[in-house]
Amino acid sequence: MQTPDLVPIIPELILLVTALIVLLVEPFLKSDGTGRIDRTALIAITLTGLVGSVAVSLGLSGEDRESFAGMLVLDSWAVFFNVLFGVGAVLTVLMSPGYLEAHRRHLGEYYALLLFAVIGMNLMAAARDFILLYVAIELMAISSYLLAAFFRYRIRSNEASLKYFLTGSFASAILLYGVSLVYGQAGATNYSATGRAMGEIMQSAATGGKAGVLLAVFLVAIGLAFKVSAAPFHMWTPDVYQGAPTPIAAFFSVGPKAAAFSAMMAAFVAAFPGALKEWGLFFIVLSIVTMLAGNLYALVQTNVKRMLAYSSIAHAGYLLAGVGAMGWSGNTLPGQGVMIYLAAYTFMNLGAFGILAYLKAQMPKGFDYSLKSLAGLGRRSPWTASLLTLFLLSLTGIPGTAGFIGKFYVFSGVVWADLWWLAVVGVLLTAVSAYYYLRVVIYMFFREPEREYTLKEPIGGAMAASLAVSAIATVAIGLVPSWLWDAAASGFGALLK
Amino acid sequence: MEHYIWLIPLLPFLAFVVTLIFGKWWIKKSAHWLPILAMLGSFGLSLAAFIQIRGSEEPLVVELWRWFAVGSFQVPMSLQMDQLSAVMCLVVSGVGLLIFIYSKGYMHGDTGYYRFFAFMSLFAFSMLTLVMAGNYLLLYFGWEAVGLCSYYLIGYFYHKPEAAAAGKKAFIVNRVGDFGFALGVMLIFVTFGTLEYVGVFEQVGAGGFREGTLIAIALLLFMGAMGKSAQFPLHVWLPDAMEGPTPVSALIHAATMVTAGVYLVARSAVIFAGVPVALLVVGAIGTFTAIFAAIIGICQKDIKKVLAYSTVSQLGYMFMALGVGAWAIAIFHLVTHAFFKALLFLGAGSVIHSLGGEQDMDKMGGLAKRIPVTYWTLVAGALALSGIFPFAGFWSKDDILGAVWRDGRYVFWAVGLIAAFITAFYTFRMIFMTFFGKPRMDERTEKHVHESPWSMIVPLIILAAGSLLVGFLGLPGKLGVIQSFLEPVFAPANHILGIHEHSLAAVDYVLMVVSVVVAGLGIVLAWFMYVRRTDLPALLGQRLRLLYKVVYNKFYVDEFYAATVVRLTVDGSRWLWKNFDEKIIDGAVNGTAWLWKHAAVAVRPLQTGRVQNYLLGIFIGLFIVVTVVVFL
Repeated sequence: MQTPDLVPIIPELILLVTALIVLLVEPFLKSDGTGRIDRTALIAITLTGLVGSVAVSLGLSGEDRESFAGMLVLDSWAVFFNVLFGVGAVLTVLMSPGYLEAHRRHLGEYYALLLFAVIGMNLMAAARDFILLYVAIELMAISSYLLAAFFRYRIRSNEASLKYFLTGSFASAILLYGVSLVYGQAGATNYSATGRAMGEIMQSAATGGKAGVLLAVFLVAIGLAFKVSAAPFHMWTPDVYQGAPTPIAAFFSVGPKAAAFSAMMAAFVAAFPGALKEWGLFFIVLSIVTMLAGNLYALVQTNVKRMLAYSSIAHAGYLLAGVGAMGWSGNTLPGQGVMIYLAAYTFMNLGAFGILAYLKAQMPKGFDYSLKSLAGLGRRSPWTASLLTLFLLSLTGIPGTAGFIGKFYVFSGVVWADLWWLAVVGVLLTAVSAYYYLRVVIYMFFREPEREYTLKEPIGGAMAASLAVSAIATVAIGLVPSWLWDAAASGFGALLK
Repeated sequence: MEHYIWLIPLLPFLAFVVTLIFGKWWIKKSAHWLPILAMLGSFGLSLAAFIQIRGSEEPLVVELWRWFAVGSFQVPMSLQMDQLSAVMCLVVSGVGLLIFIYSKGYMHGDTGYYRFFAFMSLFAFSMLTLVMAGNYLLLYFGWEAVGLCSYYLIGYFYHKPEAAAAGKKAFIVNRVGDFGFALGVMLIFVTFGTLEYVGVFEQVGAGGFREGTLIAIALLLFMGAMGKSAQFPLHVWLPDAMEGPTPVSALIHAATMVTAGVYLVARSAVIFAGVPVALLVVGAIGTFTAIFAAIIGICQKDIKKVLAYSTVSQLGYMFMALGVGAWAIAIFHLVTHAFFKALLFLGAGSVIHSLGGEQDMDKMGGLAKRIPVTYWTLVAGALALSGIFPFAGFWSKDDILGAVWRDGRYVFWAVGLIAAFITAFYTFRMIFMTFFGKPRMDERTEKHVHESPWSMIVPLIILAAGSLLVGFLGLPGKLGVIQSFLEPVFAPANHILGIHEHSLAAVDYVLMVVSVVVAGLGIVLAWFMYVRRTDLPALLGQRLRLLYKVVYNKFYVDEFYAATVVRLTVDGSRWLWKNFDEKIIDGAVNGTAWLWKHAAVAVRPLQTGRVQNYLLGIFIGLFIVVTVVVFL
């Protein structure tokens, strides 16, 4: 047997080693006199590992290497997502210490688990085989379950984790069932081999064979739809986001979701090209239901954290519209739009959740993320309120921000695919979303609080750095998006090769 | 050159950001340093670009980035540097630099000191973007941005209701012009499929487009120019804009922003050259505005209002030149005007400053000895504006009248000449009322009269020297440096029009002498009425009471607008608001909101919080999918 080429997994290896170092170093950290342990070293190690992994990915971006008998590749597709996940994780790590310290639960496992999750996400984007895809998803998911339960003395956190675990395993089972059907019919689990075999079956036009293929395709689709929290497989999302520690909720809403989208697009484009129209239609229907459900539920929320959870469902709907349009038309333009949207979404949503984490640590006791508790923030903490406004405007899709660029590319891709009515539905629902995003702004700037309050001392530079990077990226993508478009185009170029 | 020109607009922008963020708490009283240094940097780079671009046949286009691109729909961010942009950059950054320095003294001690410099820097950024844009979209961005800064700076003293109203008025009147401009830009895109200058002008040069379309484009663009450059009938906002601080009037409402319309037409020379009808409209409106505003200028009492109407009138001259295809000469007048009008405004500001804020010329007089530097520099500016040899205004105004004559538009020429006479008259009326005769202010003010600080005086002296000297750049005929410098930009347009360089003939010398004599007569008349026989103005006002009243009230244009356009709009809007908006639109919106809200409440119970139900949801979804696959 040949030794596998290890170069394509160097970014993941770096993360793995970093996670192990974090776990090993923690017991040796000394506490100062008061029993507090300074864990700055762990953060530094984690950040170094993440940045190193991103740098190596970028350095390898010219290479186009396959490994492990074609199970995974490192091409510009994988690099795009490696960088995206890496940056998202860096921002999450930066916003964590202050929040965790405020809850007296600052432990090394946190960072290690986060790194394991990122490894899983990277492998999801790089996978070209259903078996590896499944393993990667599980690696990400199990790390996520643990992270959701990180405040294990809190009942909400436990609830979140358990619900996440139960529904997640259910979805995994469906996915695995789909994969087994794929193997049964195609005799392979590799994407491209599957693609050829499934294409032949679809061509032969025997009704029974067709139904079998479609069943396999749709079961895989449902498994992944759960991960991106598409309706009606979305119900776990708000409970999990609300119960999990806020930085983790921020991470969940962008990282695993983007990873699931990357896996979805890679798998369906490469492995199911024979059923393009069918899965395209499936995702289009799913996208309409998801956009409707996400926006409807978000409308009636009075808790901002929960509202953001529902709004993340709505965003999954817009993204699914792009994926669906890609399948329906067989054109990659909407798919490139999805990649840009994911990048934009990573920054603006991390920023919005980050502000909530920041406020949780800074606001007086009893702050519960409700709209009312944000009243008057504009005068008491103008910077925080302005930044949150920026992120919310971007989430709404106001021109000049990243959110506009993301929506612009996805919906113009949808129009390109001759699905203008779908774009109309999406844009109208975007208008609905303005209501619940801007309501927060109104509360912050135009309402007076019921009780006077003052904010505690700021919780450290790391959080500020994370928010600043998110804000700058949100504006920068809004003003200068063309490089993202080029990166997305080359990613698809690599995927289709 | 492509490596640094993007810095020219960027430097003032950085100054804006830093000053705005840190001005209030940190920089405070030294808020002027960063903007001044940024302008100095921009000026230096503009100078470098100016030197490097001379003689180059092709414009330099730098694509900074593509904002977005889907298929053939491309929105590039590109800067273009050619001779025209270089001249404009030099004027904006050079005059801007002097005015920034002047502002250090003039705005000293104002509570919003940092705010003032921040927004002046933002203006400089916008204006430089406007003149360096490589396509109509970026031009439009700069166009709107300078409008916004203008609005903000006119209303700088926002606690004064007149200032706030003037800001609003400027903004709204400009909307009318900008509406046309925006339509023009869209029509360009529809017609040519691109907004890049290079691409558009190449296609126009190649021909094959319907003349009607080109006329529509040209007139729509000119509509924008009329708003920005305050041409009749959209001139009403500029005099009111004088509510802003004097450096703002000098920079934005005299030297730079208001000339953007002239720049726009000159930039689009190729489009205009192909459609004589549009050129005639440009020339006619310019000529009419030149004399119309000059007449109003005679009766104004506020020193800044005189200068404002004079600006409107001089902009009319520039459009007159554009109307006969004398593109380079229009730009030349733009340059000289930037110098002497900035000088006049800053000088007027120095007078106002020395009198503790007094702007009414009826309460001035006898200041010549008290503030000599201001006096002499202002006289230099007045001579330039009147067109007296060898000051800058003489060369540029004479070039314009010469060009108009050669083109055979004798009516324009005659009107221009009369306007020149009036210009000389009202300019020196202002000088005599301000500096001659007996002091008419109250005693307390008189005691406090003082020369301004060095930071205000030095820019005045530099500008006065400029007003004396820049005219020699544009000697008539083949001697003109600036004409031959700009030649590569305007060659295609001149080719279409069949204009060639000409040699000086006897008629040119005759025209020069005529215009100087006419201007001299105007000055003499002003001297006679306001120094010799000071009782005459009042007497004439009595005799020609009706005429005086009409002119003094600016031909009642504002009142006319108030009674017609504004009234109709307000009443119509109110009707629409009551009937259409409140009933139909609000009804629909509220109805939709009601529907959503109730739909949301209706689905809410589905989210039970029980994990069994969530799994059931997944299962139902699965069931539906399987059913569809198996049975369809």
